[in-house]
Amino acid sequence: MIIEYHRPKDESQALALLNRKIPITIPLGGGTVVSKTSQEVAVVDLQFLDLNYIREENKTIAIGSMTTLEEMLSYFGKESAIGQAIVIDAGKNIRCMATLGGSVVSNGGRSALLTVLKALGIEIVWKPGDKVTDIDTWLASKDAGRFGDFISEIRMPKEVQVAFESVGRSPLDLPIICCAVTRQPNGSLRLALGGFGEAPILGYEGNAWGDVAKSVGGALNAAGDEWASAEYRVEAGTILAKRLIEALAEGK
Amino acid sequence: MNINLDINNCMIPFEIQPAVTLLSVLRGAGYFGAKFGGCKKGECGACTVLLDGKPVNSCSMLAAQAEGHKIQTIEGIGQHPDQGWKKTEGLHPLQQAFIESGAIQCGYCTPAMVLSTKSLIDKSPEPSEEDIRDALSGILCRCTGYQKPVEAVRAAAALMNGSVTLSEFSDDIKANSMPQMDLAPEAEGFKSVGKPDIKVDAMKLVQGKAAFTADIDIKDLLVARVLHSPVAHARIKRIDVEKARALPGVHAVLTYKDIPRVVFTTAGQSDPIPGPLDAFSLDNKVRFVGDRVAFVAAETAEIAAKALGLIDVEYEELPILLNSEDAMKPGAPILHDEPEYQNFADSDPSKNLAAEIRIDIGNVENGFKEADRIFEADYEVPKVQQAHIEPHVTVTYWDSDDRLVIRTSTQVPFHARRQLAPVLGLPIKRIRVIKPRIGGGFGGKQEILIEDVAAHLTIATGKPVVFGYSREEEFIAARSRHPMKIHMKTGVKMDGTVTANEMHVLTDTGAYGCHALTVTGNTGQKAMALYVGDGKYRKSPNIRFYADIVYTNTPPAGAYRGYGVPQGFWPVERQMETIARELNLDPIEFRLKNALRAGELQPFSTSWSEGREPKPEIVHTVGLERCVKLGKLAIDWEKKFSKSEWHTVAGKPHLRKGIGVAMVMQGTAIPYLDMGAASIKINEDGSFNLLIGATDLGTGSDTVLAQMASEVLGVPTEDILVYSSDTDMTPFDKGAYASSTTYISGTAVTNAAMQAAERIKVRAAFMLSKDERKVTTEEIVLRERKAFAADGRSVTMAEVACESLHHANQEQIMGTASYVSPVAPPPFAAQFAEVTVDIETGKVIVDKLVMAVDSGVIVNPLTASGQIEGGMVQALGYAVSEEMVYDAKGRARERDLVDYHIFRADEMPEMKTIFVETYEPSHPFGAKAVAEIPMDGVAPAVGNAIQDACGAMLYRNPATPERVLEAIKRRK
Repeated sequence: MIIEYHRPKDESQALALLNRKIPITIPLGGGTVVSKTSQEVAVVDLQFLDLNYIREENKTIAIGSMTTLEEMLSYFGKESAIGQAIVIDAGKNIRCMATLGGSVVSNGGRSALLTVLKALGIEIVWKPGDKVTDIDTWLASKDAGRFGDFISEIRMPKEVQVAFESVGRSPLDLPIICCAVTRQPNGSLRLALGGFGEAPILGYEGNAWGDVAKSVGGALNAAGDEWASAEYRVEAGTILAKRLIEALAEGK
Repeated sequence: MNINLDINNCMIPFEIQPAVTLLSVLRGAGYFGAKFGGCKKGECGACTVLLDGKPVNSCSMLAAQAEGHKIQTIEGIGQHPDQGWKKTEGLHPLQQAFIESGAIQCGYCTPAMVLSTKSLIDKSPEPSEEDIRDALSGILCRCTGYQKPVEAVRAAAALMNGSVTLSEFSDDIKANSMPQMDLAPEAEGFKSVGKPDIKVDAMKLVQGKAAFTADIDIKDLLVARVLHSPVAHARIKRIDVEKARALPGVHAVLTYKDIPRVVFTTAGQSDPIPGPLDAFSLDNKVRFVGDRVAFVAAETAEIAAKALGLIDVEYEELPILLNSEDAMKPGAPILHDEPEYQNFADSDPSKNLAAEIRIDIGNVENGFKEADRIFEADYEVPKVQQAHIEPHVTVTYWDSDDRLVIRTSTQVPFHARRQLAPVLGLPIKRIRVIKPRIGGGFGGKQEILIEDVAAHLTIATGKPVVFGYSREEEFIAARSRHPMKIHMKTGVKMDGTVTANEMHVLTDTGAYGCHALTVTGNTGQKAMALYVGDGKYRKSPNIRFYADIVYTNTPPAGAYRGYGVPQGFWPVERQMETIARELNLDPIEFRLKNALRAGELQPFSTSWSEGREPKPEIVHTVGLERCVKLGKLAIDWEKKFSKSEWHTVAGKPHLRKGIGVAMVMQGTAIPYLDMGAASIKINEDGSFNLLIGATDLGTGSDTVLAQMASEVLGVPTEDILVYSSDTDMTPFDKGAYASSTTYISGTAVTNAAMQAAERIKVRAAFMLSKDERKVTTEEIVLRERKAFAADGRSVTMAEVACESLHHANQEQIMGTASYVSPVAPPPFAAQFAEVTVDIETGKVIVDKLVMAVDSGVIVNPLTASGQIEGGMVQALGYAVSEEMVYDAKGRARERDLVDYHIFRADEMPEMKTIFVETYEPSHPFGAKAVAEIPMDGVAPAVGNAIQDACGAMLYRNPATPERVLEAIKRRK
């Protein structure tokens, strides 16, 4: 239950609030998740902090953490891998509210968007101090939580190819298995798998394209849950990985 | 904290708690157009408002977040064009388009749709269909299938951007919203019946008026919450509620110790209830995760929730029974050992048997002997949820006469009154049930599910109480479709003649036997009646239907649109497909060869009638062949079926296309049992009040009943003012179920209107005789708001009314009638589906659905086609995505509309509806039922299309990717 609401005007006010130990104080993005919390918390609404932007910088795209998924969809387009994933994760209303920062914090393994972000190897920039955490580190440790800081920006590589495919029960159902692959200009691949578990997992990273299928199969070996068996995910995930890599090779 | 919100350009101050959502603030201030779907993740979107012009979910946003932004609600969009002496700008074009296109069914999500698409049109004056579907993607609609809302937005945009003129607007909408019609010549002369009149409740729904149960502001209203069991089977060893009772703001905490122990059933059905009585408002035993443990009433929802956490319960856990196949095995845990249990027919709680059915028609064993081939297979259908967007909700209070008022979202107000009376210790005459608009029901509200909770708490506190389910409670503690395991055995000659057909069903009714007997009875009565066989078997079909309906420690099943029939047609139609392919027969010709024909006996009519005495029924109208013909044309069957080149996709070797068909039949009402009544009276201006007990749960039944009255009385539908349903004010009606309202209540309305018409004719003849000659009553014709004599002279309806009410021989012209039917004429349909299957992952995309339906004469093609479109989409979920699954401790996997995925507007297949009219002689206007039949054929048609695409033999729905891939591998 939310017991305090604050809307700081600048970073220092926000950080001062977030550094309180009593009551537990957390950042508020779009609010779609936090507004339903049962825990007693104070929230710090970041909407005045000018964190709503998408900027292209050299080899990076920098996205403010308060940028909504709808704004990202407009920027990247529905046909892009990010666009496809956003549309699967949320309908219009939630896209107009949910922020990228909030999604990185709260989404789980069934999130198509988080799977694509994982494949992109995004960097998460934290205030204070613009400390940077890579997505792998963040997803591995986020249960431990972070005290007193908030995400200000997400950075992703600009000059990579990205491909994404998902299998669900309907065209826009949350994935049972999904796969996102990025290809760097030097040809190296980074492949993420989602649709299960606490967070998307890395299926492959490297240059040996021939090893991808085996690596994906290994990554999914224990991926059985109430939605699908591990055997199914191994089989379908390997197929998706193969298709996406072929598509990237063909420049699609 | 204090905030100022800019709502519809008015700055309004609020004093709020930080946790309060924008939705709570808006509804508390009377902006009832924003609805609540009970979600935790904002997935339904019924609460949509515009924030700085963008659609957002007000249930997922703190009110404080919205400060400094411009909030627009439906109340700020448009209003009734005529408010007496005050003229307004009228409705927004979008609202007008929603009304005229038939885009409104229950109307619960309509304000959200209007707002979201207004946001689109404001930004993109010429939106594409993809844009419109995207704008609607945040709002889940369970009624419409989105087709008509999309059309409404397209038409409104065209008007607003000048592509069409105002005079072209209505024609433009009609041209694109109407279904394909194959008209019955007998219905040609009707003036109102058969016309796409707008819904009588559309104006208020499109404005988001306070029309629903929870849209009410009562002083000192307490909020109720229920403590649900965390375990699947246990006795309550100890329950301590003192801390909860002591919490400030708590007014009552009730356990089984505090209220009378009265056995009843939550199934809302006519007397005597055709099923066991096996439930209590509160018991000392819990039988599923989600079962009731205690009730709390408090001043706020937050206090009530906190109080639940203070109730200390010690459970003595008992062995769990989750698998229906184990239910009747020796040593199985017994769910119902209470002495108060009341059997119905063959129920036997000592065997966990809620009901049993044994029906033999003809000589089945001889039929099998006469067959050339016997086909046997096992099938399974899942538990699925109605998922109406308005959750169950009830408000109770004592009125000034100390009568208990139950304002509730129910399909069965009269059954609710009768069945609740003993539970509450009140005589029926001290209970009044009021049904406001219903935000979808689909059978889920044919259950007296939560009314007793609020009522007990009002009795305990003396205060008004509101109780509404959350979405999670809908999943763990409401009703669902009965899951079944089915064994089929069919005897067939090599020429395709079915010689005998046998179905054995094991039904899982969950922890209580709500609708246990009747749902499963319907499975056989409809699905096993369609294919009687050919030749001599037509007169003497051989059919066996045996069923055991057993208890398990899962949430109870109940009524759900289709009422057992979709469960039956999955195995029957998959079986028919298999046989046709195995015997190398054309699957359509094979079906038609064996299908029931006009003039034949409904085979089950001599053996089954919902637990009552059966009476033979001849089926007079069967439009199935014509449905097949038009459906085949619409889906281009001849160019696709068995054409190998069509089944592949260029450049995508992993994709296969397939096409499938299923033929289905339903029923129309329950003969000799369910009764509807109506009362109609004239007003001075020649308008009429039509009072009906029938409950429009969004289907448009109020409108079609008004159309039937208008047809008889010769006035436009807008002159019929419909009021439904209130147990104090309206005549009895059994309620909205069994596809009966148009047929049963419609005949009652017609008969009542005929009584009124007769008096109008008598008085008109008298009035017209004054001038020149003696006019007879028989020659009077009512049309165009007038009563005409044979020579063309007329008096207006208003003149007749005034004469009768004020001037001479005063009387209230009125009529009251009721109707119970001796027959249940079945509607028929041919359902077609086209799919694309990814043979490497098992992913299925349904590309197109075509349904050609014989529902007799269609009273309103707009509302009827809306039923078909929405029904097909619900059934599409049954085909591919919807399923309720439990873990080893009986805990639900699905607890929201994210995991329980229902289709969004932006992922829909193409859909087409065709009505093939027949003229059913037992109805005054030739109508049969339409509401339930769209649930029956989609799943098997999709299953058959998947088989056509890749040979995968599916025995279990939904067709999830893993199941499809397994089936593909089995084929290999």
